[in-house]
Amino acid sequence: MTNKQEIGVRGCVTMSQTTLLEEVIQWSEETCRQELKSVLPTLYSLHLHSDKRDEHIRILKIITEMFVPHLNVTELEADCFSAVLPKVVKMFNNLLEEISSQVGELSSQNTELHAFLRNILQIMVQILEALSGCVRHVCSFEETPALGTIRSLPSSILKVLKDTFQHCKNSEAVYSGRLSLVTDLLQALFREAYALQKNLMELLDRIVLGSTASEEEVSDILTVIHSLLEICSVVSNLDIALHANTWKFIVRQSVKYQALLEEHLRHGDIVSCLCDDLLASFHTCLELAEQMKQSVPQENAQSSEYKLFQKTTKMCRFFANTLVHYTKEFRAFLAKSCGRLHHLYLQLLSKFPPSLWSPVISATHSSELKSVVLVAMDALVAQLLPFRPFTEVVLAEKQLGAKSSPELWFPHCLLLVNITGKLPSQPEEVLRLWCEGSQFREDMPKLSIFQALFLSFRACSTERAVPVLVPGVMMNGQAQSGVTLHQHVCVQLSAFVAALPAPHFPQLEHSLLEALLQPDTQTALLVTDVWCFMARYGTAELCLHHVVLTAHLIKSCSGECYQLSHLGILLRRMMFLMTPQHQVELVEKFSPKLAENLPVWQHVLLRALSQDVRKQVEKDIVSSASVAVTGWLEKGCRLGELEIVNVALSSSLVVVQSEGAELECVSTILRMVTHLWPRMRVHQAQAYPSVRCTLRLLLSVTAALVERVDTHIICKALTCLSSLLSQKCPDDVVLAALDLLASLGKLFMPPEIQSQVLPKLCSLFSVLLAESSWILHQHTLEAFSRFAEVTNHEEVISQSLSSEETKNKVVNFLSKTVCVEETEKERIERLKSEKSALDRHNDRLENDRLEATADLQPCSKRYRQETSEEEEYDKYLQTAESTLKTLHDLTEQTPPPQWVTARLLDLQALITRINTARPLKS
Amino acid sequence: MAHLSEWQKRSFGISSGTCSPEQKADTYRAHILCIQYAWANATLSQSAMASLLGTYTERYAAVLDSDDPHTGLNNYADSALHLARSHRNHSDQWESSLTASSVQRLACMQSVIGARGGNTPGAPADVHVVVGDDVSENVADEAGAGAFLWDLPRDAAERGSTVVPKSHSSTPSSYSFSKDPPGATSLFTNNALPSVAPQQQANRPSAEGSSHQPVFFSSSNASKRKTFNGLGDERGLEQESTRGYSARGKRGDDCRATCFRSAHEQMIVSQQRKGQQPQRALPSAPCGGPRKSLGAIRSRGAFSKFVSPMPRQEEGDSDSGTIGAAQEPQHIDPRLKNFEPKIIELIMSEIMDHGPPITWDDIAGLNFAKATIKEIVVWPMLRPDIFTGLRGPPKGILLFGPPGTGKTLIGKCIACQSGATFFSISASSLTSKWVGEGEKMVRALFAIARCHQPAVIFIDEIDSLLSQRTDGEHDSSRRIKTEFLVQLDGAATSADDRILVVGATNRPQEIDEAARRRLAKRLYIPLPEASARRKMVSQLMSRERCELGAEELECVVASAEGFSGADMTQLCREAALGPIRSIQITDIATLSAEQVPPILYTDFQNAFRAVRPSVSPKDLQLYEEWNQTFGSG
Repeated sequence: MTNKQEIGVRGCVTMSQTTLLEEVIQWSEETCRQELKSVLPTLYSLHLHSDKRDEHIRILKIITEMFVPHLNVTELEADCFSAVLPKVVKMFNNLLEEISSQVGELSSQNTELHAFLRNILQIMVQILEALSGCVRHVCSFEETPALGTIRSLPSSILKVLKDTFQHCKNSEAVYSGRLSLVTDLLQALFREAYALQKNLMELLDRIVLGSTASEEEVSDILTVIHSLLEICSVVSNLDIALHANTWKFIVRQSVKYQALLEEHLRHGDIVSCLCDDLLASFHTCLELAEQMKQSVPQENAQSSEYKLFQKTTKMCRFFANTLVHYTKEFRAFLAKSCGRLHHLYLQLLSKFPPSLWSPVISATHSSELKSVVLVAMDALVAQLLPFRPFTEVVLAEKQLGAKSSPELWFPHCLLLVNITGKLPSQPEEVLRLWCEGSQFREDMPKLSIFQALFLSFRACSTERAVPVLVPGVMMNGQAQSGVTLHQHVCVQLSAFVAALPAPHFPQLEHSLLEALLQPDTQTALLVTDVWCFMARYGTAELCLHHVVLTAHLIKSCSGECYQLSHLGILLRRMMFLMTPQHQVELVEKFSPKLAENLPVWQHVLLRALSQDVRKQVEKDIVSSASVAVTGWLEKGCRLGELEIVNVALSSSLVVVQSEGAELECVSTILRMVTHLWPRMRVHQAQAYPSVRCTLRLLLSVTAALVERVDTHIICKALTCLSSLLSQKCPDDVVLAALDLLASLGKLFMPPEIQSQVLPKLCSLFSVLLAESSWILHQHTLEAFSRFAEVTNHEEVISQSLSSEETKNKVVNFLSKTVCVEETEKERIERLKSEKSALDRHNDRLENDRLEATADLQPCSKRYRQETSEEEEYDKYLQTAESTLKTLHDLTEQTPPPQWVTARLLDLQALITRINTARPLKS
Repeated sequence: MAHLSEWQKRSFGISSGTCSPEQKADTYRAHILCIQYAWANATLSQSAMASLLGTYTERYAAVLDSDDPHTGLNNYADSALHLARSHRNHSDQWESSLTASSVQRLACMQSVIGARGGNTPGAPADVHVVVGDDVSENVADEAGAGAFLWDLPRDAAERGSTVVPKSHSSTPSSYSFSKDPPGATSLFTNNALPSVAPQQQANRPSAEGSSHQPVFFSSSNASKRKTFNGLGDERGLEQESTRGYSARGKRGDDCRATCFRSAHEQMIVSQQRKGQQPQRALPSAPCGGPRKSLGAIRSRGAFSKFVSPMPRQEEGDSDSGTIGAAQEPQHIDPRLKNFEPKIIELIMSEIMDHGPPITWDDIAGLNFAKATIKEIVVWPMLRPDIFTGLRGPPKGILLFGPPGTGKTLIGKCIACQSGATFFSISASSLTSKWVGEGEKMVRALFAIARCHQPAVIFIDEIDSLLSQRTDGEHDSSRRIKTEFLVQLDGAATSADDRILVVGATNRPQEIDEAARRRLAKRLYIPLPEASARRKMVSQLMSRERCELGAEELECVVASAEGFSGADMTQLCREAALGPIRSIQITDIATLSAEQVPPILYTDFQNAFRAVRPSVSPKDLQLYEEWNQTFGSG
């Protein structure tokens, strides 16, 4: 209709507007059909220009009720919908605006306004009815119309519906206290809207779009889906059934036209909307369960609360399954949503026990929810497993980031463990996706799954401290038991390692080493656990190689640092897993005859060695230690060289602590100790850490040899200790002293020194028992009870317990009474707060480390380049060397043919050329 | 202080000796976490932390790496390999990519190498400070030490340069106990066939029986591990050694010579015995130490030649018995010298483990029998010093009564509660296999029991061993009986031996009168009374979902008059199946465990139709009569 025509029509009907309408109303069905063509344009025009609400709805009603039924499929869109519906939408909007502008004045006294608002609402209901009529009419065709023939209908209806639902949802806020005045109409409005949407969806379901659908049609159906998505977020709290049905429709349509739509759908919005809905209903479930837990338990089964709970659980199940379904269909397009899905998984898991952030609900409810949610989430993870963006999110280098809440670390760790469990049955490329870190600079930076696992384990210190129990492995038909997180991770990771193909082994190795050298001790412990499993599972040669490597690293460590103790733990455990031949090899490589190798041996338990090797090592250690000590004594006992003595002593300690050391060795060590003790000065021990270290080692060695040392040494040691304790005594010395004191129980003091020694012993014990640091206090109690169990000097015991308080403490300890009890809740709160201290400490250690590294590498880029070149050289040279060696072996076995000599000469020439060559670019 | 109380709570758990290896490992982990926190919290210095960490990780490692099922976790290999069971094992192709030089270049290592330790003196001026240069202190000591200060260098230098490895024979005998006996080898044995060449395997990567995860053999090398474990829990070990094995100690026995095989170890041994050629000699028997595993005969990795650090047992074996023979005298108790090793081995293999601890409360009813046994058995075993002379315990007990009333359970309980070594002998193992050597076996049995006092020898179905001697009897079985009677109370037995023979039978009337005299206490173990039956039902049902009212329970108990303990169990089993029967067969597949309906009284009623008492009133009368004549209660 052009502008001109419009004006013309308007001109001819203006005066007869009212009469026309009144006339039309009288018409019979037959007349309507006949006059259709002539009257409709006039009606449209009237409708378009009607300003009064009542008139507007009247015309609309006439059109939809009297004339639309006579239109056939092809005429609908062009002749009716496109002309009428935009105006309807606009009108509806105006009505809503009017309500919101007027409603402020509404009160039961203000009858005029009251009637006015009710009128508007009634009109709104009527509009919806009219629209329903249209839909009904379209449905009544035997053959479902094409989408193009009704295209304005769905979009307009959905706009109206969305506004309606929004209004219903906001009604409480909009009408505030006067809601009761319009409740009935609002309910009618909602009912009508509900029916309308239902009909519309049925209609759309019947429509079939071919694979050759036009662009217009595609965009129509997209509009429908996206509008419904908006409606979804509006109705989520209004009506469960409507909400679910809308979602069903969205997913059904998306899947139905997958080929047409998949590139245009707003996947991100759909997924995040689903996630939100799932989370919302999940949280409702939890709240209900929490309430039920607090109420009387017997009433649960039939109570309305429980029914509501079940209903909401059902919704949870629906959303979760829908999410899984959707993910399955459109995985390729969900790259951007992976982060959201990952987060969802963590959020859900963090609300289930054993997470420390899970609400207290009864076990039945929890397991009901679990079976609903977690099963689906597991399927979700399985689907996303081969999806690269998902790996990038889960293995992101900035794991969860500092800003994220602490409750998500534990679920993250469980997720990673879960993934390791799934990986062995995945194809090779999936495995590679997870095991390799970022390979190229262009890639998103990501960790290998091993690194990520260790990192997340490290972050779960609270869970480890509690300790939180997770379901263990079920096997041999035995019931499943709860195991600690450490055991869980260790078992699962070991199982993964057991199935690890060779190409990924370097990644594993690398991650293990890296995690071993990070500051958290328990994580390092986990690493050694897995490493030992690996050593026992892999070849003996591999084990040897790793041991040699560890020994190298230990040797190159300088000073005392946490990395050194972690490496020491690994070395000590791995020694037990070596073959005797390899032990011999190791001893040759790191011969204890050389003092420079002693730092390695101070970490080894000699029990681990086979009999012959052990004897040899013992002798070698002792002889080189004694040479070192003698040298130091001869050179004038300089503080600067005391480090050598300390290493010698600590490796001697290894010898004396192993059972059945040779008598000869023991007496040599004894001589060493005898010479070193007189050099100890209290003030020097206070001033210099290295002297303190010597003192500590001397105490430990003396404790181990207590039955053979000279009594005057013991006197000296005790004197030294009492004067140290009278001031502020360093705790490491206290620990070593406790060893000595405990071992003194085995000794019967000769009468001539009793008067000197026993009082000292008493005072030492009573000072130490009053120790304020809890960890020292505990060890003092242990040492004291060890002493008391065996000693002959019983008077020492009673005299040590001078104060009543200490006495009580000791008695409690011996009777195994634990005094202070805190509630479980308090305990968990305390552990949560401790986590931050631990993290801070670890971070500080790590940052120190990074700074140190930064100092070493002022120009990191250059450095890298060089190393990679050097590596190249190294690699090729090794290959060449090994080949040449084989060749050499061959020539020794059989005489080489003639031509070999010639080619060898060629090789020689080549080597000369390499040596004299200059790089082209320099 | 919360940390202290938590620490104590944990360590008391360990020192009580009843906790599983898992719990131990968890405890040590928690300790380690605490230590770390103490360091983070500045409660501990770094070096103190390091030294504590050393101590506790060592104990932790002893638990974790040990493959003894009672004390160690075997690196969780059971679970891990269970999980990995359906996947290929590629471990033989693993190749390390780390080299000493590449590792040093890693970022995480750089700082370690670069960082200067805290032990070097702070100011360079201090480098020349003379340690111990302070004459004011201990002048006398100084002088004394100085006198032989210069002895040391020469002495030590000599030692250092000429280290002559000494042969074992010259080591002092007091050290010999630490010498490890040979251990068997494999760690996790890989069952890939050694003959399959690597290339072949690579060519056929598809799923193939032999290339799948190996079955894990609980391995071997007990000796190695045990030495490792030594530090693990001194307290527990000490107690055990002082309590059980008084024979140990100054003789310098290998402690494992007196250790017993667990049932599990025994299973391995017997399985292995089946697997080996029959002519192969059993491993140096009496020490019982080197526990061999199935895996030991195979090579360790697929193609590796991994053996444990300990010498191989097999090598010793294949070099004929000479090595074994040479070693044996060190381990054998002199009292066992005259016995053949294989007999001792057999007897040791019949030894029952302490098993899962059973307490008196686990036995329902039977109050009289329990009280009597406590009085005459358990207390004397715990306090032998009081129960001497006339108060001395009897040498033998006979438990008789209808079958299924808990006689065996009582036998086990005696062993558990008295802390005695428990030998469980079935009469058939003495009689059937070794015809003609039965009497030697009996003698050896008592000899070994004497080495392991206090000991309880439990003989189930003793009637078959000690039936009345008749004329037409086979010679060998007669000799066994005679030997038995002699050993039980004869010239060879001394009064202060703490060996108790417990016999159990349900045919007391068939026992030889001489044996009857020696089994001085004869206790009738009757059918359970009502209260005992009630306890049984409620205990058995406590593990199931059962909705049985108090009156209904009484009805069940009342109708079960005349049932033995075994019958009661059978009844409850039958009743527990009731709800399952009500389910349609098609539903079984989909049903969740919670949906199984509870056990109801009607199920018991139905069960009573299927289960009848196994002891007839006539039999009972027989027992009663015998009890009146010979019983001691």
